[in-house]
Amino acid sequence: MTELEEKLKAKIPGADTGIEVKRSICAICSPSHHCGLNCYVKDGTIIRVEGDPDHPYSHGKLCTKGSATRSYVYRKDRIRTPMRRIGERGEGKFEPISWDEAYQLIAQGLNRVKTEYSPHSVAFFSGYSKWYRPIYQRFAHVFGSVNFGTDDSVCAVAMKMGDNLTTGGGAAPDMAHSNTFLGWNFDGYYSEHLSIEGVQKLKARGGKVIIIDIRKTPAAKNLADIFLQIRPGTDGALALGMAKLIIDNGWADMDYVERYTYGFDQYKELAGQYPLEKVSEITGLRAEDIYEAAKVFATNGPACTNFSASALVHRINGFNTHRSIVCLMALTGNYDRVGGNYPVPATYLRQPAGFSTRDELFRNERYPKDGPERIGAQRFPLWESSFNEFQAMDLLRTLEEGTPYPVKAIFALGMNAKMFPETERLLEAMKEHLDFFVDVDVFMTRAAAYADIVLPACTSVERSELKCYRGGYLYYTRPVIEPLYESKSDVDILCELAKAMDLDDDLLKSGYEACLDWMIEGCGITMAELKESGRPMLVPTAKWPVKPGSCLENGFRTPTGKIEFYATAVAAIDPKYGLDPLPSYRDSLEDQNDPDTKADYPFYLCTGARVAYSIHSRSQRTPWLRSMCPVPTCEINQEDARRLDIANGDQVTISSPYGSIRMRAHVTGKTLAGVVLAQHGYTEANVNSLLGRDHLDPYTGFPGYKGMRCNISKYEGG
Amino acid sequence: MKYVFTFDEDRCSACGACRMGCIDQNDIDIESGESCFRRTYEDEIELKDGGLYCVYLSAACMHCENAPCIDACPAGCIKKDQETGFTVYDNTNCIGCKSCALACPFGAPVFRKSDGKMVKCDGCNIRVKNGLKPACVRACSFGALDCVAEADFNASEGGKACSQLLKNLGLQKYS
Amino acid sequence: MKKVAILGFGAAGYHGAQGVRMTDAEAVIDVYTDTAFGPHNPMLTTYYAKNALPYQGMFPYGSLEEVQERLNLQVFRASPVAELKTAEKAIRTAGGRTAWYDSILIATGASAFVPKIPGAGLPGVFSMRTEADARYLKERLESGAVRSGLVVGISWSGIKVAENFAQRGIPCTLMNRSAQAFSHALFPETAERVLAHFQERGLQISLGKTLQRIEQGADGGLSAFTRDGQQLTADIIVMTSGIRPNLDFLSTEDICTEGGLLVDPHMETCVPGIYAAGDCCAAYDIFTGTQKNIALWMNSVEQGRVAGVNMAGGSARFRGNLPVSLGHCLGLDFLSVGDPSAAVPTGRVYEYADKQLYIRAARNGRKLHCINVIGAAECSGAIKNAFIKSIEAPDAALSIQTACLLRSQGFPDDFIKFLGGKHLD
Repeated sequence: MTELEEKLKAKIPGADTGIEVKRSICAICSPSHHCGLNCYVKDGTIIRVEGDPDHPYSHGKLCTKGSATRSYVYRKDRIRTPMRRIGERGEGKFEPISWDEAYQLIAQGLNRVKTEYSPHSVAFFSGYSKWYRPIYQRFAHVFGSVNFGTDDSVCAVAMKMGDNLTTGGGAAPDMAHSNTFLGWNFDGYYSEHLSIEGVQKLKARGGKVIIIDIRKTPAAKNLADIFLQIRPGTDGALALGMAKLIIDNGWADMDYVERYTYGFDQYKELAGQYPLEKVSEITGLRAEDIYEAAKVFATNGPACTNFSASALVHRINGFNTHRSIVCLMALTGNYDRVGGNYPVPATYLRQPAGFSTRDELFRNERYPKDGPERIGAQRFPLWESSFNEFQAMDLLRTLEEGTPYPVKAIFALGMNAKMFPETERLLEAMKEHLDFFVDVDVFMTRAAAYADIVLPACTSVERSELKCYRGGYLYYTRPVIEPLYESKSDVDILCELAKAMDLDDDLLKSGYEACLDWMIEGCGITMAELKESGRPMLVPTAKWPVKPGSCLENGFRTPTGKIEFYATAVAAIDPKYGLDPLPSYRDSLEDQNDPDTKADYPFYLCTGARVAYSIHSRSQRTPWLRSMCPVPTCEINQEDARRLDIANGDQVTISSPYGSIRMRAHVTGKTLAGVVLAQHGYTEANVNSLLGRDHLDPYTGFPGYKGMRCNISKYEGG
Repeated sequence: MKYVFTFDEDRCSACGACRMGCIDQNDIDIESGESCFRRTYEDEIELKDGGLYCVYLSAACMHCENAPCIDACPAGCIKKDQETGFTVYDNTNCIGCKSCALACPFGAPVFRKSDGKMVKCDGCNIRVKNGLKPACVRACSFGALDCVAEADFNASEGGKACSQLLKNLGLQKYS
Repeated sequence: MKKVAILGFGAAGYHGAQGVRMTDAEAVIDVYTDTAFGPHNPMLTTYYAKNALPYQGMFPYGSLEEVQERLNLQVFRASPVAELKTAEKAIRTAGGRTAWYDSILIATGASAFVPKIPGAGLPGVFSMRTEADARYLKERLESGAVRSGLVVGISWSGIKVAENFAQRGIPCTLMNRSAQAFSHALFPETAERVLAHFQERGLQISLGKTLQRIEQGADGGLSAFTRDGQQLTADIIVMTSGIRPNLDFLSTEDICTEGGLLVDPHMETCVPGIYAAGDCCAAYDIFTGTQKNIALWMNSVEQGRVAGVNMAGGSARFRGNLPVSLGHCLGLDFLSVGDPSAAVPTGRVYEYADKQLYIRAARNGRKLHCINVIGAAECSGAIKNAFIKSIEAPDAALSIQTACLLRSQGFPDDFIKFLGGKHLD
């Protein structure tokens, strides 16, 4: 091989090899991250991807998923052209059509439902990702529908509601100044990989780490000084038990409590119902371990915690569980203090960067006046009053029952049917009740197979998008390759459709960049400058780091202006819904505890616990990531496996009152006896089909993905 | 300058990012069943006190000083790169006899069905020679995997070299 | 200045020379070889014949001239040594040259064993060991005139010759004297599976047949007659029943031999200053603890190097032979470590089979004595190593990494337990 041939084979960038390193961002996971990419491009094709060392947020790091970007972008099931359905819904038979034709058909379909029923009978729905949502939400409202909903119905909003109703907003851990990190359901090795370094540093400084999780994780092994392997679903009881210990032992910061909180007496009374022995029994933890954890957390100086985005709120007792953990921060005076957790207001796309934009105004200012309540409002009044989207967990019922008004069309971006409990029933309902269904996606999905019109979207490396980052940055990315096939950026699809439908909004019709200019106006930087730069730029008006103490000084953004142990917003909900303004604990299987169900389904099923190489269904079908675990797999404790004659690698049947699936058993000592952990997002073994559509947290409507009953047995078939 | 791969088990979670980096760099056709040069492992061991030790590992070619695969190859395909110290190969004459696999205690050489030849980790030799980190190291977010100059490694003491294992297996240089 | 002689120039001779050179830059190294080629690997013959390798590929270290220059050697080509005077450390070549040395390495290798039966010298009857054998097989197969073949001896080279026929679609029979093929390496159960695979790929298998004579017909075709009266016809017959060390030039009164030149772990024979390495020697065997002739390329390489280093005044030890082989033929890999016949009545046997894997292993108390694995070549080194560990430290378990590798490649937990379980380093 010549030297040049060697360099080409080794993909060495340079003029001689013609390999150029172009920058973009990864958008495979949550918008809280979106790490910087260095894409090695040769002849218009990405040949290698690594982290961008100059990126101000990710500093060259990428997780497993991001490192598989090339496998994701060049997946074989990319949708290539706009398509019209020619077979039955669900059959997956389509014919290619032009973009113009697609837009015309969509305009006709949506307008017909608007005319025959009402604009609100068109539900606008989005799955992952979230970057285009200001454009999309405005689009829905300009069209005239109140019904804009997203995966936020099951993602992290329950946690954010808990934050908002308790303290007025979310709060980030001040890792750099903390003595103790309470990692409640924390595993940065599997999710939020950039968080690990902070914990490593805290440990190196002599700080203490407490990890609370239902399974033995890498964080438990590599980071924990105290590890509490808790029985799933009982975190709320533990938090209240810790509160009692803290109050009883005089570890509470009573000065803080008196000055900054509301409803302490009721809270104290509630916590009083959770003595150590009782909590030990509920959680399966040793009393001395609970005591030790509470003591270290409360007495070792400033303590901070992660607020687990989804794991804790994916149970029907999740909202109050999260609230009870927030309350611990207030009880110990660690909220809005140095070394504790403090509010970092959102800048753009609900991510903090130390300055303001108008994206929320852009989303909401065209909300239809005098419209009806949104889908789900009557079942989940706290959600309806707390968040500006419909609660999608009521979509199935609404489709089936047509009340309070029918939903006859869905326009969706990246709809993932497998996200919905009783998935097949939802698809059936869509097949039967919808007059019109459009789905825009990068890949052909289960949901897309039911659509009348399917449109191809492109990935983050094929488009430009605006992102903000901690540190005061705005970044308008440049595409590193042309969109593959005939795919387009989601925002271009929306703006072009706004034009084709001649919607009453000049902003949308003038395109994405014009909309962005409007949103960021006043921040001190313009789209023209961002475009010209192509790199993350420091925004002149940004104040970073955000300093703790602003709420202590100016009051909290709650009705009482204080941290509310007793949430007045919950108290304002009609008592017929039975919502408790206090963070009370109830069993996470409460609706499945009748003797028959208990006997038939004795196992606790927890789905979607993170693994490093998976983020929902998108990674299950990305070949490189799939290779990490090629067969749909569930974890079962070794004692249970022995009892049930299940060997490692055996096929097992997991069943619930709603159906059954087959998976491969991974027999392990990492999960507790009585618990089954199952990976989600597989088409051939869709664990969410085992989840009842009404197994929901009444406060938020969030489904109990991580807490439901099941049975497991060795599969005896061939 | 010679290089050493280091691995710190206490920072590893077997997340597989290193594997992705390797697949990406070496165009390994995972879909057709080709094996990645780097493997990640999760395992657990029940301890005598009833506890559980969880194992997270990442492993590829150890680039043994006295690499047995070099001796084993009947076609003379494998050699040491004099500059980097990596165990490199030119498999033009590889006959796919797998003698290298029989020589390697770590399962590093793998058979590539598409051309019937053996392939393995070469330490990203050309990348390293061009001042870049090996792809797996580049992909590790947690500081578990690194590749450092031998001189720096020796000076640092107490580092966790992949080659620690090699001493036990007698794969160090003849003294 | 040291003066050394190397007799024979295959893997052991070459690495002997290299071992001397890397220890002593000044030493005079005289190489006596009976060919004019660079070091040749007999294993590559069949690969050259099937076009998996170019001609030069059979000489992995390059031509004689290149090697000579690289290692600064004095090479006496086509000069086989006729006599070794052990007491004087002197050699005499067939051509009459006599020379005295500080030390001598015998690396004369081995030759194909051809039974002395009538017709063994007929044209079209040959063995598979040398460069000439390789060229002959290739020429004959490519001539298009060969319509059938007979391979006598199911050996590692025999199956590769048969593969040559099978891949060209030429009918071929594999004949074996013993009723069980590879009886020194494979359990009967493993051998049966291996042969069944060959049969599926079109080879005829004929076991328990002893060749008595070969005759040539008027059309040039050959007929092989077995002792039990069977007649097989073939256009070419390849004799692959094994090899014998090349020691004819030695007087066994002067030097100790037992199936090969007996050497200590420094590769020195019973005569001080005279070393032996490669297919002609019997070196220490890890498995039996005795000296054994185990002709493997890698053994020759290591033995040659150890001998060379020691001859030049350095210090090196050979870690030991191990009866191990990895056959791969017609898409099947089969590994054998240890000796299947070493079983004792109280021993334990492990067996496992699935779509990809077949495992059969046996242990006598604390020590494993044989492992056969079909279908997992990539793990063969790890398994071999586990085997060595069970001999050298019977109570040590597998390293975690080995256990993880085996698990990831589909080996059942029970097999890992059978190998000794896993332990924390």
